Amino acid sequence: MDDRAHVLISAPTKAEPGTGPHVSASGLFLVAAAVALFGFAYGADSYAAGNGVLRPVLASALIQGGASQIAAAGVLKVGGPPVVAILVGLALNLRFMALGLMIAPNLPTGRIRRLLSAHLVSDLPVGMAITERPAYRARLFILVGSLLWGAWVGGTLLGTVAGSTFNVSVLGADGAITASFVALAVEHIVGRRAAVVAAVAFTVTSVLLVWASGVAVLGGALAGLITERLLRVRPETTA
Amino acid sequence: MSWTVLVALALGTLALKAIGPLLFARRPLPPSLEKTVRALPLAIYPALVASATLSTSGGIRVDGRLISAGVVLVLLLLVRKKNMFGAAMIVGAAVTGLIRFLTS
Repeated sequence: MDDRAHVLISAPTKAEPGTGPHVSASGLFLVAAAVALFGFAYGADSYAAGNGVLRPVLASALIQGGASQIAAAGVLKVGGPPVVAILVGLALNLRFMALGLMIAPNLPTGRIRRLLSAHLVSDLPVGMAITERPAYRARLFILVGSLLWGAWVGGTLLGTVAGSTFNVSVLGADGAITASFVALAVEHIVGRRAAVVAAVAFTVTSVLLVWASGVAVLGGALAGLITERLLRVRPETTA
Repeated sequence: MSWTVLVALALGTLALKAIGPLLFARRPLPPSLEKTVRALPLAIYPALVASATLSTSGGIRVDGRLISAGVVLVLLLLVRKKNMFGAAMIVGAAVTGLIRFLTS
């Protein structure tokens, strides 16, 4: 299984056997900086909404899912009931179930360590780890996961403290995060059929955003999966 | 965010993240599930790109975010080599920031 995965991984990225992971230290630093800026914006907003310092920081540390935290806060801000805020947040985080499955073979085996490392599951750590050869995945996932957890929580703390002193959106941190998603997507777009799958996932998500934004990513991904099954993209693609 | 929402989201999210790893702690994924899991990234990341580039409160909006993502996509398709992650992020941030500066 390792062997096949290795061939599949190295083919699209042209990684030579024996070379190190293809995410560089500077790349990691940039991701961490962008995530920290996002955390800063969340912390500043949350503090301004009267949540103090402790609650936003704990929310980032324990929930560790930026989109769900921002969406839940948005529901509460317009006077929505708490139960709706919880459901909207959890709907956005349903994809973590899939991401958890993707990284499951590479997590440590002890129950506590497995649970703790599962807490680090997020779009970027899983996405970056699975584009590496299997030998690097476990370590890279823990490395990126801890780094980005620290950046997200630290950014939130700084945001609550330094507050609305400057507007981070001018720095284009959201553009950097989006670019990292594009980079992760491109890693898997090998061949015309894979491109069709990606286009379907993108398009269906865009359409769903108009009237079911909470489950748009999930619905788009599901449409992509169905398309993949119909076109039988494998064995050209990787996971 | 109230304490209730915080605790519920924290526990619910951890459950979602951990269910796969805990269910398959001692046995490998069954082949049928493994097929689907292997196809997941190709389906998930383009969906996340759509959400990150288009979503706005209560719908979609086409703006500089989509242009920025498009520039990054073209760059990555033209230069297919490893270690492009950092370059992609710098370009994404720069284009987004530039468009925002020019249109504000």
